[in-house]
Amino acid sequence: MRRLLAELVLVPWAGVLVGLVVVAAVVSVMSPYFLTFGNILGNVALYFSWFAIAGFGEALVMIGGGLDLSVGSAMGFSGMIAALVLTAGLPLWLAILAGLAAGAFVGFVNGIAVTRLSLNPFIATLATLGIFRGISYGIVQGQAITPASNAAGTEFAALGTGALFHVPAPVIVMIVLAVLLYVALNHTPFGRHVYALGGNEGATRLLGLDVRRLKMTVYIISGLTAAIGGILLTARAGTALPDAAEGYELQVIAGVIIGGVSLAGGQGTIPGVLIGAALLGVISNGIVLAGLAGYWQQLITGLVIAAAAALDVLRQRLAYLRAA
Amino acid sequence: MPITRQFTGPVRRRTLLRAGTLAAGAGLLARPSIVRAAKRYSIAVIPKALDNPVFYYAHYGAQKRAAELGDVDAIWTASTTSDASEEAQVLSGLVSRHVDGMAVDANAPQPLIAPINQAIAAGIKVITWDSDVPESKRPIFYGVDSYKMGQALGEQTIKFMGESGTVILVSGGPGATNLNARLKGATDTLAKYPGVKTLGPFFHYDDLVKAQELTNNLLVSHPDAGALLIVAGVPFFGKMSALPQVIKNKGKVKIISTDVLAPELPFVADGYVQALVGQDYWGWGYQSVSILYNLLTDPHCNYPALVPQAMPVVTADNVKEWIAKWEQAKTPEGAAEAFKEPPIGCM
Repeated sequence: MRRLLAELVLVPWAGVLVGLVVVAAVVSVMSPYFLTFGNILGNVALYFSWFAIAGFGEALVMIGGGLDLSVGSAMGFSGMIAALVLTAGLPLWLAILAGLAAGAFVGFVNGIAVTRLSLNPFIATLATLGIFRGISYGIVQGQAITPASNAAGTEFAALGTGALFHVPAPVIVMIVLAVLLYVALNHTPFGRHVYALGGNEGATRLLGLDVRRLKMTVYIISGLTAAIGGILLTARAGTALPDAAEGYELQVIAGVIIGGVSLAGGQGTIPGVLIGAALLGVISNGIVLAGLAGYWQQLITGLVIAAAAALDVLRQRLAYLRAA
Repeated sequence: MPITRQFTGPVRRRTLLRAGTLAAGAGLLARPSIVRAAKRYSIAVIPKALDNPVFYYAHYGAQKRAAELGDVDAIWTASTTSDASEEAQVLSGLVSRHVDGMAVDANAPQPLIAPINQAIAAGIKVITWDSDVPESKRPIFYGVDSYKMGQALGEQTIKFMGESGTVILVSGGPGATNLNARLKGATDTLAKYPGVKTLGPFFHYDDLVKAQELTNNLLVSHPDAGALLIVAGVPFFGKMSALPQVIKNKGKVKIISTDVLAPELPFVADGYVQALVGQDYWGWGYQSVSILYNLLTDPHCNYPALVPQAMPVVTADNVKEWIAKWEQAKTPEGAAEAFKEPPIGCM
């Protein structure tokens, strides 16, 4: 047991995993409905899936030493573009492609602002947060865009409401993306370069790596993952609202940080991000299941975030002591 | 429209002064009366946010009444999010522009007291609609009495659920005056029945996906509840397929909600939602412009502090009629026909 604990402190996402297990245990004691197959997959996992998906791209940006505040706007903008293409009577694949291109474009603009205009990532992505939210409102004049219930519209809705062996489609997409990005980050030169960039940008440049290109790539990936989350969210809701995913960037970033990604860059893992998003999903679901009045939800969420972060600091100290 | 309007002395002097200043700026000092003759009234209608579908018809209504009047420019503007501080900034901007009238739907009352009073001090006519700012100096609130709407929701709940059971309360945000008044009206009505217990409120923060998630979660976790009483009907603004638990429930836990909008009606027609209590969305825009225009053009015009609105209730009995109404209202012209009502005159 001591040996297991000693090993566990070395795992970067161990702190948040312990937090998740504790919160899940508390909720399952408070409500018999929590630990049911339908609730875990059909409610908890489904509703944190788009936060986790957008979080994967956000994590790459943050591990590389940047920050992307525009993920919520990119989610809403991409979903809106996909819905508009569908409403124009074009096929589903084109709608998805257009939505992904919209997200990649947001990432590209962020990349240009950070690498070519040398803007601070916070300012650059704060600006694009406003710009792309504004475009979403402007192009539809505040109206909701609801794809028609034709073949393409029904297939689109299935992206958000369909399931394979009772696992909701967005959860499957989340797992596939988690595996892909885990491999990319841990088993490819690209991943090593991203860690190096966030750890020490100057040294990375001295190694001869194209820092600008690397930054541009992580921002575009962040735009793409936000787009995937946004398209799934829109498909699930059945309608694209210009304020869809408004403010979601805070929950995405909270999940990423709880999952052990350092705001200073150079540290973080994809499994950690997944668990961080899951923890926030369990809290949101648990408060409803436990029958706690909504007035306390934000307080409880804040306390759990603080506790999870404190747990991770403790883990890091133990790991440091063990290494010493 | 012929210029036959009579101005009182001070107003005329002020108008002439303003017109003269404008004319001087344009090099037309000798013709101030022509500038006055071209007077158009700018009336701003400010919803809580720009995206909520309930406000589309208020927008159409405001445009329609402005077109009918001929000398009104209806300005439709709002904060991008349902945020009272942002809305306060929008109001301050309109005061700087010196619009003639403002019809305000408040996200929360306190942050809007100062800008509304500031507008009134600047000579702008201000009324509130949908959600009031009672402590401001606004003379008129046009809308349903939110407390009475809550009572109606409570009564519909009892009608469908019976006089005992657990009623789960769901609202938008914890800060909105009108939603809190609806909650109070509902809970006061339910409190008359000793067999009824309430749970919540739970909040969806006017976010469609979060509202759908919350509704599904509540039905999973409280399958033995008597009813779900929703004072902000956002969960039913999207597609039915996003609410699998509502479909599975199919009327077991009774669902009573607000708004009588097109996307919500299939839920009533298919027996998933038992009753919807709504408001006159068209009137929010149409009548707000009417009232402000009357206040601007007739110095003797009076209204009571609460100008009440109709409060339609949709159940299985009349849902077909409402579906036809919304079918007709797909265009602004069709909406004008479907929701046609006479403008409210001075009272």
